[in-house]
Amino acid sequence: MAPVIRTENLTKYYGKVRGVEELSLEVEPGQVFGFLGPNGAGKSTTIRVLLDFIRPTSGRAEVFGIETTADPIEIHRRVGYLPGELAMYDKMTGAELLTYFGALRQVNDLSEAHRVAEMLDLDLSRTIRSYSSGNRQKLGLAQAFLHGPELLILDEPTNGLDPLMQQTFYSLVEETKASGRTVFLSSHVLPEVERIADKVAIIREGRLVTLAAVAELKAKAVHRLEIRFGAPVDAAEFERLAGVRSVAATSGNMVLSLAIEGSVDAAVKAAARHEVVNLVSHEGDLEDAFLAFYSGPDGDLEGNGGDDAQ
Amino acid sequence: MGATMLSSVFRKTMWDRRGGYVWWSIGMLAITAITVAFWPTLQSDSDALIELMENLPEGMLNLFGADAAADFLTGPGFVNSRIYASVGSFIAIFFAISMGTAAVAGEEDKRTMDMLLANPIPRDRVVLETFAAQAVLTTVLAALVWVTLVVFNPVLDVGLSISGVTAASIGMVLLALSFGSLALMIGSLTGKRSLAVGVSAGVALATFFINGLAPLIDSIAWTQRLTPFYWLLDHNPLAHGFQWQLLVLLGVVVTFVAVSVWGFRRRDVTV
Repeated sequence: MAPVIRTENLTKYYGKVRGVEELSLEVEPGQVFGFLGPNGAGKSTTIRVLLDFIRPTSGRAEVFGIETTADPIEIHRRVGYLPGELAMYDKMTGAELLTYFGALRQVNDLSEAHRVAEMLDLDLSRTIRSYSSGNRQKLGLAQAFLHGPELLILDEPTNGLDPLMQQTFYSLVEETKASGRTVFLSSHVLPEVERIADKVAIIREGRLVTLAAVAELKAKAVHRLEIRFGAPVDAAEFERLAGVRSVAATSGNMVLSLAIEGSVDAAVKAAARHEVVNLVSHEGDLEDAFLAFYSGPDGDLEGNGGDDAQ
Repeated sequence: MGATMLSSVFRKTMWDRRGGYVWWSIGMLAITAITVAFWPTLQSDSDALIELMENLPEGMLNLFGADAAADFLTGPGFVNSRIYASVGSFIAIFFAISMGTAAVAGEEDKRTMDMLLANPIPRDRVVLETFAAQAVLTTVLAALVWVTLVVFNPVLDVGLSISGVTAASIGMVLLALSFGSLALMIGSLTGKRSLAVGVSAGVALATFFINGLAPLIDSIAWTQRLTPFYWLLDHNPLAHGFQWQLLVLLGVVVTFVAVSVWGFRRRDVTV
């Protein structure tokens, strides 16, 4: 199937200030795509090109196969958008904003927007001026879902949401994915992307650092295994095993701490030949991979998933 | 309320004004009513007034839309100088500038433009519908002047003609929209709110003085023709009815709005 979003060597400069450089990525239909990077990395720039608020300096971007500069109105019709810099009409109530945007979209049935607002526990009868930043975010989400769009572009969607509401948002994303729709969301929070995304693009200083399936990244992530034995063991035996990157022996070689990339299978099977008193595994997460990506200006990762960079 | 008012950019732009517009209207009504209410008093004390006027420098007379002291002593001359050539027009001008500024640059300044444009509406429509709202509400302000003058004219024996009041009021709308569309144009080209309001208000004041004072110096008298005030006031529509010169102002407005559409279409939306 044709990608829902495609950018090709997308470059955007604001005068001399870098937005994004040579960004190429594709988002498949039905995917939840996480766009990860610190603030100022160029996430919002990319998103604003997709909606034709800003035009590429060079390269191009397509949504639904439509060049963004060619027919932005058709793209807007089919996209729900949550801005990163969220500002709304202060004098309106939440319900009035939904009425207004419903009218601009020629959507009379606002039940979907009201359902999302209700899920997020938002009082639509109050004026936006009186909303906390979390409530503004909820209203921003409700209007993004208003017309049941086939693609949702959400810039930092969980900003300002409390943890409970973040969970609600995650289930909203899962529900959207289950209905075959596509979600493109940016975040600077790694566990969030790990939790809900199928695929992740990591961007830093305007450039794509890596583009990979979340499962793939997890497989490359480093697991930490701590094994307590009934009798002293030889650390060298474990150092030779596939995927083992380091072994530290303590308590007179009774306890080994292993750092393993990918599967822990070989290490567990080796340990099983000895008497094992206890075994603690820390699940590898993207945090390690993520931190490694940001550890140096050239993204040198010591094999921690960085080979995926393209 | 709200539900029907929030059905288009045009209506929502008017809805935005529902608070402040009352005060613009009251100001316009008050200045018009007070002006005509003074007319009988002035007329009965005309000898002293003539003396006073004749001692004024020529520049002062020009500034208030009169060619000679005697112009002030006719009803139309007095109303023209107090309303169409000064305070009334400036109320309409500053109102139009505030709307022209809010339309594009103000929306960007408040950071709501991204969310508005994410709806399937072309940028052209944001420019044109906000301008339409500006035109309608400015016309209503001028209509309040029209109604006030037409009602009080026979009562206070001001000597105005309905065709004159109509032509001058249309002229006031076109004058105000010249500056309102200038603010819209600067905002559409740059996205900068302070630039839009500052330049258009500055140009309004500067051209007002140029129109009044330039004729006193022969070598620069022609610069008067560069000001919108000249095209409204020089041919005195209040006294003579509709003048083709008012169409020059219409041309200015159409040009500025067209440049606004073009300017906003081609640039990046600011955040």
